[in-house]
Amino acid sequence: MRLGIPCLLALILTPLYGLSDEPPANASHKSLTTVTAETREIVAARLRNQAVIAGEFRQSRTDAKLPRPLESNGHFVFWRDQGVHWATTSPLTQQTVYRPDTTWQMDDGPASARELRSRSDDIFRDVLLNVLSFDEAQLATEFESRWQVSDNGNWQLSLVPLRGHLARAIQTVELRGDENINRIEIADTRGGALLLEFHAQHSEFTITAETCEQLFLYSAQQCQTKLTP
Amino acid sequence: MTSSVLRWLFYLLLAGLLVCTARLLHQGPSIKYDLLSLLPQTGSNAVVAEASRRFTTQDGNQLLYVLSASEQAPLLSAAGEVLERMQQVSALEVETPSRRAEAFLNYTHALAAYRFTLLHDEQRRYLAETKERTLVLQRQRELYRPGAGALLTSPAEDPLGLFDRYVQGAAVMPENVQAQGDLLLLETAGASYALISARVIPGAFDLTAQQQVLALDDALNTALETDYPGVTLRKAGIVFHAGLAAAQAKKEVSIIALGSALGIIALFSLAFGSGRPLLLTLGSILFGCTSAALITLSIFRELHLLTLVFGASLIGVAVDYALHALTRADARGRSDLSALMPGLVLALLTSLIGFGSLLQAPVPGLQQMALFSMLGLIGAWLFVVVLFPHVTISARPPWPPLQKFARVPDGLAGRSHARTAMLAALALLAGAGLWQVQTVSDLRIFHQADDALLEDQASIDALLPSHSANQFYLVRGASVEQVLQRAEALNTKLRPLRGEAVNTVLNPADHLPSLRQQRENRDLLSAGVYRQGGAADQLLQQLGFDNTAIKELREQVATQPALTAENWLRFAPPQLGQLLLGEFNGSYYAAIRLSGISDIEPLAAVARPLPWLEFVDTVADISSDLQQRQNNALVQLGIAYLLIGLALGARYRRARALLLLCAPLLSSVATIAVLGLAGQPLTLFHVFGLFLVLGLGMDYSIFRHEAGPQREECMFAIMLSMATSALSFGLLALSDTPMISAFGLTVLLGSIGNWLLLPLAVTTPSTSNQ
Repeated sequence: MRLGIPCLLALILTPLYGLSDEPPANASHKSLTTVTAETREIVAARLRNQAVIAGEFRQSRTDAKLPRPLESNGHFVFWRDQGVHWATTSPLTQQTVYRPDTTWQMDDGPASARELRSRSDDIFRDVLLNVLSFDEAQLATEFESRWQVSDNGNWQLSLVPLRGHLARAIQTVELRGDENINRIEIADTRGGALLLEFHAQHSEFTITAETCEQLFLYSAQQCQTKLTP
Repeated sequence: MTSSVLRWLFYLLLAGLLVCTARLLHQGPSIKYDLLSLLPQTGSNAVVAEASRRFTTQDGNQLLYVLSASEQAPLLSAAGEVLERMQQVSALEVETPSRRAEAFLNYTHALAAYRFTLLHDEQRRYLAETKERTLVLQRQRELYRPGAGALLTSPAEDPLGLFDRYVQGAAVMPENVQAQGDLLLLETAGASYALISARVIPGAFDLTAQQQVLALDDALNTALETDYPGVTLRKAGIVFHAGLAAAQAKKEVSIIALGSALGIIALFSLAFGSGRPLLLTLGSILFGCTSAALITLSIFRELHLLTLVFGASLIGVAVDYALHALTRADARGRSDLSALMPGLVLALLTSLIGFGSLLQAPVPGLQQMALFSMLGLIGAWLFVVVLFPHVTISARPPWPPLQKFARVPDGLAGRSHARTAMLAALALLAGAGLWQVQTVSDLRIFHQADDALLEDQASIDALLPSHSANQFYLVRGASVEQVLQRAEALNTKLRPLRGEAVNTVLNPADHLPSLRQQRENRDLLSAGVYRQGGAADQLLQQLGFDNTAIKELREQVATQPALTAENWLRFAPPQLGQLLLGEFNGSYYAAIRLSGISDIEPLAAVARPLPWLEFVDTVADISSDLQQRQNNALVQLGIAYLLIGLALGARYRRARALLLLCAPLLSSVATIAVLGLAGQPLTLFHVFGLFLVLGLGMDYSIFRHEAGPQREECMFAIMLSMATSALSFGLLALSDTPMISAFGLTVLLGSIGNWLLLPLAVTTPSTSNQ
């Protein structure tokens, strides 16, 4: 899959300057304007067709209170508007489902699912879903956006929470990528950080009634509704 | 009593008034609107009073707005507008989630120093029942979950996250409420809610604050109706009740004052045909009111608004003195009080006895009202007896129909068949009505809350149950430690009732375990998960901590001091700290608060077998207290009749004088019977009204008895007195405040009864002669 991330890139850049008539303020703006204008055309059409992104992740949590980072690996499935299935495979196995309304933890398959009600999980869920689905309206109400781009085409977007509970918990959310989002780094206000690096991303993953129930824990009836075109 | 003595008394009163005025100018007068101050103090139990005071202070000054809508977008916009408008009100301090979060963080930081002694019941059970390998794995899962968030405490300090979970239980915000920006949001199946709370800085009973809050409320309702039709606004807070009650009381004062004034003006115009008698009478009442207000304010330092409502009406009794004086004009057109003076003295004395009986009522507002009325009567009386004889009255003959109306009671009593019919009607009324009389002693007789506010409160309680200020437990012990141990024991007893009779329990022992429990917690950890090679060691090694750090942690667990109540109170949030009530008469007390009470009986039953535990139900206590006072008041009414009977005996020196008591007595019986027939239950305030019926009835009887040849003038004055009383008390009967209405209705019926029954009871010499 090479489609989801460019879509995001286009969406991220569009509200910032792509639609503006003002000339860019500096050189990097100028180069990015060119990239975005080209990318938008390609990505916008693809995005409409890309409802699912699947891939692998490497996660690293650093904290001043830990002697070394906590590193883990696994795979994920992002289903637009429905949630993210996050499966850690090493050094332990567990699955977390971030749905727009709730967060679920599965230690041993859907039967072991229990709802997580912690505030930090809620905050992470909101950030992850908003960033991956790039809910423009929501992001604009919650974050101040700043972008940078290097000459080799790699880009970086910094999101700074404007106020409220996000600002109290999160210092910045940084997205980096080229034609994909390659990493998301969330720096918390207590000096810790969570780094998520993505690879082997693709959009060929098909959500079936079974995966809908097994991975996203929706009921059969809900799945039927969601999967009906 | 000579006229010179009266003059000196009058001058003395004037001098006293000057002193009071000077004192008040120095202090500044204060009008009190707090309805709670009228409630009888359950202060026989100082601990209950202290707990109630703390809860009322803590909760009473809070207000809460809850907005609801089926969609979140309009809800958030509307809530933003409400928040903005609330922040512009100077009397309010809006409590944002960030403020709450900061306070909570400070609390948890302070608690962290005692973390190895703090465990919940559930945590102890969990540690006892769970294998160490599982404990390690579960903690690892937490740490590796991407949404685990920033670590509150380092794994080196709290490897298994036990302290993090402990403090989550102390969170001030309910679990289902989420912060979003400056708003608190709550989702249910069918609706979204936004909650905005604020503290009324000057207090819920501050009049300016009430006006600001009510103005804000009006503006919010208008704005939401116009701009956000799908958003519903509900509110809760004592400030709304107090604001509405104060506005209602002020409105009633205006209506009663205006109604009484207009009625009296009309009556006097018809009765005397000139302005001077009216001015003289109003002068006596004004002087009485001013004297009463100044002296009462000097004594109590503040005057309750309801004292003014009651007291100003009671001074209407003082009009009797002026009316009788006005009908006794001599050849020069001046009041000749020589023949009237014994009656005036006796009338004042009996009224003072009647009102003096109210002084014994251990309800602060009523004591103030009784003193106000007594002082007002004395002031008005002195004004009449000292000044009236020196002023030309300039009265013209009264309007004939009014004169005719004044003869109605004598007309009825003068015909034997009419008299018989009246007595039969009275007997029938008493027979039919008295057995239907019911008594009620409910707190609602003090104040009937606004229905819409009650409905809002019920909706909000269903959504977010709040801790009751009226029902709670009191735990007693010889020391704070014993109180906490007993509070811990109570948790076990209350567990089966949770979700059944009560929703949540706020127990100080859940936040400050007893020292014994803390030692047990520390020993459990030290010998269990924190032992050498235990779950904590295993996890820390996996996380990369070195052996020195691991060893230091074990030593910390073994030596950590326990959290004492003294230290805890230094940093505990007010809503928790207030639960430790302190020492009273050598014993220590703590309160345990309850929310979402659905069944009181099982909660009360828990306390019955435990001598150290009391289930306090202040509503039931006040109702029971009112019932007792009502019974006492009836006894005291009997004593008042007895004392007045003795005074009459001393004045007239014959048993027949006791018949003068018949008019108020029969009138009171008839009044109670009418109330019974009307289905209105008898309350303490009806009984207080009967005291006034006695006072008025004695005035009528004494003046009629002393009238001699001027019986017709006397009955004319009595009719005018009855009419003014009926007018002012009739208006009180229309009040929306149940206690005022009960008082007014009783006096209205009683004064009419006094007037109609007067000739049956008091046959003056002239009547006898006739």
